[in-house]
Amino acid sequence: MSFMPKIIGGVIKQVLRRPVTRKYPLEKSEPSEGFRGRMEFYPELCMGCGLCERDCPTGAIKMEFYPNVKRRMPKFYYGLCIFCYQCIDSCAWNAIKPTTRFELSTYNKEELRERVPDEEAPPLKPRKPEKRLYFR
Amino acid sequence: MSIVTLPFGPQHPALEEPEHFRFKVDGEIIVDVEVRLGYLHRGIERLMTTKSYIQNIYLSERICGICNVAHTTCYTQTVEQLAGVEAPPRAQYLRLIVNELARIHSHLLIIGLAAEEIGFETMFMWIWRDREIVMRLMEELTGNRVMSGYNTIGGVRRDATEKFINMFKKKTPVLKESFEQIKKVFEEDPIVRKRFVDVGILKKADAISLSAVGPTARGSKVLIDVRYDDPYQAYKEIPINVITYDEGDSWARMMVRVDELFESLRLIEESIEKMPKGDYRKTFPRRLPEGESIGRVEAPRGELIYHLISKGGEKPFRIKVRTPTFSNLLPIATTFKGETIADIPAILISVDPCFCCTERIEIVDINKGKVWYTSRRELSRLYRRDQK
Repeated sequence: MSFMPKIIGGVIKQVLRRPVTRKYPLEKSEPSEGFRGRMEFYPELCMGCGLCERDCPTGAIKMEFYPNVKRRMPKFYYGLCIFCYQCIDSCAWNAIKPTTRFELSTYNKEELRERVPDEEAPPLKPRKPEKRLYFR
Repeated sequence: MSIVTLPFGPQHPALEEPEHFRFKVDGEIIVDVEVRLGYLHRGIERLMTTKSYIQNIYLSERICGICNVAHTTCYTQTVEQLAGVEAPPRAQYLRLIVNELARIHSHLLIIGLAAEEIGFETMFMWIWRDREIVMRLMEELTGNRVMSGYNTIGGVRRDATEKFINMFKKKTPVLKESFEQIKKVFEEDPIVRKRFVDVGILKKADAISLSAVGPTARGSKVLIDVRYDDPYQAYKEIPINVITYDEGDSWARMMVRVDELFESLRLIEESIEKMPKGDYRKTFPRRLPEGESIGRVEAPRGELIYHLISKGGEKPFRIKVRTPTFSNLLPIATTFKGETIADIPAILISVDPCFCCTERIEIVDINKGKVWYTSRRELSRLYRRDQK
């Protein structure tokens, strides 16, 4: 019975310590800095090249034509997205930017389809690429 | 006493994935076993021929969730070899770090599951609590807990930050203490020893002739490790100690994994010190020349092989994947003979089977006459579709 004091000590230590689990919806769970969450799209930076659509592994991005400003912009289907961030890598104009938002569940399917409305579409302003592209 | 056939699976509480075993039992003793796979076939190899090399990085990652880093390392290595490009030195070291982190979390997962399988649920909870540290490190480095998406063709996608290195240095003593605890339990605890020692013995000759790989082979004193036999990337500069055990039973296979935890931690520590400064990514062509290449890496479960055939262009013509579980299945089927029914989970878990990795082909039983034919017309139609 020499191990009894050790066990009792261990039990008291375990009872008094802070629990490892977190009460998630009540307490905020902070992801780390580089966590890959939902992307943000900046229509005024987009050049409509379509590289994001070409490189997306799941087909979660479709380019759409906007007749009023005569240009193309991507439509995002977050239901298909696997958050690999290949579109961010492929975008030479930094029009798609990362965030750490991860709470994406919704009752409405339409919320998972992100498209710039026709009336908000900005006109195309050509400029030089901002970033080096790794796939040529 | 007559021989009874005992079906085990496809749906069974002791198995994580659907697979089917038919055990022929004489009372409690197993006389023979038949393995039936194919419930998880997803047609990934076919799908890979319809996507570009860039898209295939993420598809190869999804062949297996737990060893996703090994799959992408092997895929990118094979493609780089075909194009004649080598990743920059810093990227090679970063690949080593992320590979070894993935190995630690895979080994902790299977050791925890083994503890649960034998009814030692407290240890399962301990191990998975400490595994969370490794997952957090993975998230800090790659941006995700499991699906890392870290390797890319021509390097890696982000650099190791100062914050990650500090966090790793802070957590190393905690992890080491936890590993020592696991080792102590596996060496001394009577419950663990009773369930694992002298159960499912795989002889060295059998392991070689039936081509076992990874910790399964190393548990039977076979010196086989791709990181040692054919060093790739940064393993050329940081040599590893191959861990082998003589016993060849389930306990030895688990102990190889426990000792590899320490080894992986040492490799990460050393590579953080030796890591050169510079670029971590190179530009890479979208279109590849015609040719063939083979890449192999040491996944947590054993040797992983990719065979790539290119006929030029943006898409591969054919990719063949040979996963470690596929070659470990035959050796382990022989070890069931002579054991009791209660030992089935303990033997099965000691191989670390991953069936969703394995099932990209169908095994045909010729003795029973069950053969699936594909007509010549169908084959030529498939071939023509590939040509487009």
